[in-house]
Amino acid sequence: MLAINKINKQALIEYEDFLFMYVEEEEAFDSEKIFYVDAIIINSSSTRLFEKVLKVTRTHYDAEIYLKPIFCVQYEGLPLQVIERCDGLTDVTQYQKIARTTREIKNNVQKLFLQQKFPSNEFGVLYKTMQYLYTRNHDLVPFVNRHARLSYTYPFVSLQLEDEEQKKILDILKKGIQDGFLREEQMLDKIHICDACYSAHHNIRETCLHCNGIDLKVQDLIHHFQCAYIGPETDFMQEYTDDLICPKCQKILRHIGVDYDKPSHIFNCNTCSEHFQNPVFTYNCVDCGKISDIRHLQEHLIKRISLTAKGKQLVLSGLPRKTYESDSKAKEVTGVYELDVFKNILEQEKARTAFNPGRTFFGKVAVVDEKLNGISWKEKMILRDELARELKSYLKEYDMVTAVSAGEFYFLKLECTPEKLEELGELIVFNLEALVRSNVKDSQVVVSVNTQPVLHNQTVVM
Amino acid sequence: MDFIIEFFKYWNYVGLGKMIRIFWYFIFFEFGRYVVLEFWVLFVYWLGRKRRAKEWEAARQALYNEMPLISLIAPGKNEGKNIFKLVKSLNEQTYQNVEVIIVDDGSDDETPIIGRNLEKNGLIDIFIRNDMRGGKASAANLAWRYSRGKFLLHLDADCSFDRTAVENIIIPFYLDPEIGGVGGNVKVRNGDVSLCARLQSIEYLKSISVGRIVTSYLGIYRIISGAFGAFRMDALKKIGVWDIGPGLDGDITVKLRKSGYKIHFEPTAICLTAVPTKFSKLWKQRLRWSRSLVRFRLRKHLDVFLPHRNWRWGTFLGFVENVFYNFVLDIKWYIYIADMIINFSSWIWFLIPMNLALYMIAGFMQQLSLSLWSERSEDERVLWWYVPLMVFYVAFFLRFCRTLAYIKEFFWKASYRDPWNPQKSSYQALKNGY
Repeated sequence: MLAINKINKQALIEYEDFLFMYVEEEEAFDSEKIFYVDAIIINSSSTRLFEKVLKVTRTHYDAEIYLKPIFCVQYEGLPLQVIERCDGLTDVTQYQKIARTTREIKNNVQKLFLQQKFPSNEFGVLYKTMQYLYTRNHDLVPFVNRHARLSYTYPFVSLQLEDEEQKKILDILKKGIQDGFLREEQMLDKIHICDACYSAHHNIRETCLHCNGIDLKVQDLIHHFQCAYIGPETDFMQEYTDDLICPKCQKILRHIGVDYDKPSHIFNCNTCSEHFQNPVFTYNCVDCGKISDIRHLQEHLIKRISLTAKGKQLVLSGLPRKTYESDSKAKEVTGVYELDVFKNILEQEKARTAFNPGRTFFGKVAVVDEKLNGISWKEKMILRDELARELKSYLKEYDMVTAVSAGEFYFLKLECTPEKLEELGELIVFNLEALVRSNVKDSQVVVSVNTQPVLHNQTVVM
Repeated sequence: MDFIIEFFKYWNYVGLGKMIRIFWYFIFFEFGRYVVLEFWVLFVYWLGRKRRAKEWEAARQALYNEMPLISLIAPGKNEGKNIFKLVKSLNEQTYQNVEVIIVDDGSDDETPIIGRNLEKNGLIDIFIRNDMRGGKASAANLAWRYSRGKFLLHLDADCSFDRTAVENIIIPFYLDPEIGGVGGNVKVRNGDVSLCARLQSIEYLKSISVGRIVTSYLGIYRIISGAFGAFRMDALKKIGVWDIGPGLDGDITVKLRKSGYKIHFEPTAICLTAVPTKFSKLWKQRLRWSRSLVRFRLRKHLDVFLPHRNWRWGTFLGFVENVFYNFVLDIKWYIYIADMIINFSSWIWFLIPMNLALYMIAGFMQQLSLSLWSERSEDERVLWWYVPLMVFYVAFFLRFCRTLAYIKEFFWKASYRDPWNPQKSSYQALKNGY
């Protein structure tokens, strides 16, 4: 039984007892309706549309939504990064196959314990990933993606974190493996990532031992057996002929191995004029611009990952209650919430503003500083918590704050006027900049605050 | 006891005239050259010490006013274990405007790792490795090619240096602008390891520490030791740096002399080196060194004996002295022994002890002069006990070694088959008469 209902360019397809959302255009995609459908079928060659649907769906706080099956209709040239993250390639006639997969996933989702609270953001990502693996009943297979910071994208899990936080994926999965929830399978690759920003995109080059210059010239050394003269090839080369003539004894070098050999080579730095044989191999990170010895690159193994029996048990029975209540760092300061919780509250607040409009504001605080790229992940986390705490101190008890990363925070300011909000913004900018500068050496931090009113039926742009 | 009485009775009966007839070889050539002449020169040298001290201070001032860059080069193979000690010793020098260049000539030990590490940590300026061995000369030439100093010091990697060694070996260039090369004073570091090393300690003191003061003073100094020698960079360029060895240190000294440069020995520029501790190894080393006399003095640089544009008395006499004392007298010694056996066969048991006694007396006299000149005479006091053994070491061990080397080189050109040099280089050197 196939029935197609088209509402505002977006089709809803009824097939057997399933309802599929059929998306062809970005404008037509209504995220509000995802909850009511059993699966999403994307029929477009637009990567942007795929990204949007995947992001909205997979990062949702509700398990019913972030585990929703997503299919894509096969197009020639559809990038791997899209195909690998969908639940199947299809064409518009294969509803039976889509229905079968959807049923399997849906059945699996129903078996899950729908955990809402996690001891940390990171554990939340791990838990959701395990849920995803359980419902899909296959391994987590990372695939090469030149747009990804790590050069590899992990289906589902990569979407849970911002681009600059991708390194955390490796840490999260490692934790899952250490705790016995996940298991490493076949090794697929090795990646080397920048120790400052965790990017795998860098340019490796030979640099001068003395000045780090990259303008190097390498030449063979020539040893003339007869007179024992040895020097770079240019010493022997002539301006007008191709002959090699020994500068010491003026003999022509005719035959390698008989008259001469090339025992080695030498680099000449055109910047500082120094000579050396072993240049330093450095990398220039494309993302953060850091230049450093390649020995500072961190090596990570990219492996296929499977869910263990212990992992399956966890997603079926949920976390023991005390686990997520005792460790949560976000609970240390009242009013600082996890992102998922914050989004939930924001939705509730949107509904509330229908009766009390214009008094609630959403604020986005951006902390931009190149120096932050140079600090470790742990330090970033400490700074993130510190900044969130600081931000909360300028707000009332009933206002809410969440930290997306060390560079991005959201807050919800209740019962406020635009004038007061402007003053508050200035105060936050001034104090957060002072805080970062006092914590990060040579900091050139720029803090910006953007606010918007929270209104009923209007999407808050994050 | 009876033999001793008979011995003295015999020599009392023989008298001075006949004694001179019997020991003419020792009296005229050995005692005359190595005791009388050396004592006389050292005495004159000692008389001029105050004048020299004044000139030295002025030259030292000139050096420090100019503060030229000095390139310290150490070419070698499998010297990894020695490099760090060498670098440490160089870092302690009083003169610090230096660059250190180490060339690894195809080592098959850990030398490349050590060298690169030192370079990376800034302890040396350039480390160059040749994956294929080219020989000592080519390694030295490569280091020279990348040297930027006004002066170049050629060092052996197994040497270490007194703190003032670099400064003291450079100062003579400021004493006389015609000096093209200065030889340092090479002493034995591992003299206490074995008898073989002890005897070499005495030999080095005699032939280098004191012997070269004399030859340098007389203007016939003929070999700047490869272990520690300084050169003017422009002079090296003019003479075309090092040619294929073995014996390349003596060869380059002759080339400098032939180009009109003066050569100087500086006794205060002190370098300590490790010598072979076994006689078998020493034998091989001396065979190699001795062959160079035939190869370089009698073949390659034979023109020193003939008039040419840069002909000099000093160079000529230096060659004559070298060839005469090491080659001609070496042959003569066998004739002398034959003469003794044939003409004095019935008294041979009185002649041999007397001969040994005379050499020992001369040895102790030389040792006395060494003690007077050496800055380490306290440490070297133990060597007195070994002076009697020097007679056997010099008269037999070194002489037989030299003789064998001369014969092999003269008739079979053995130096061109010496594994000290790679075959590809030796073949070309032989083919082209180097």
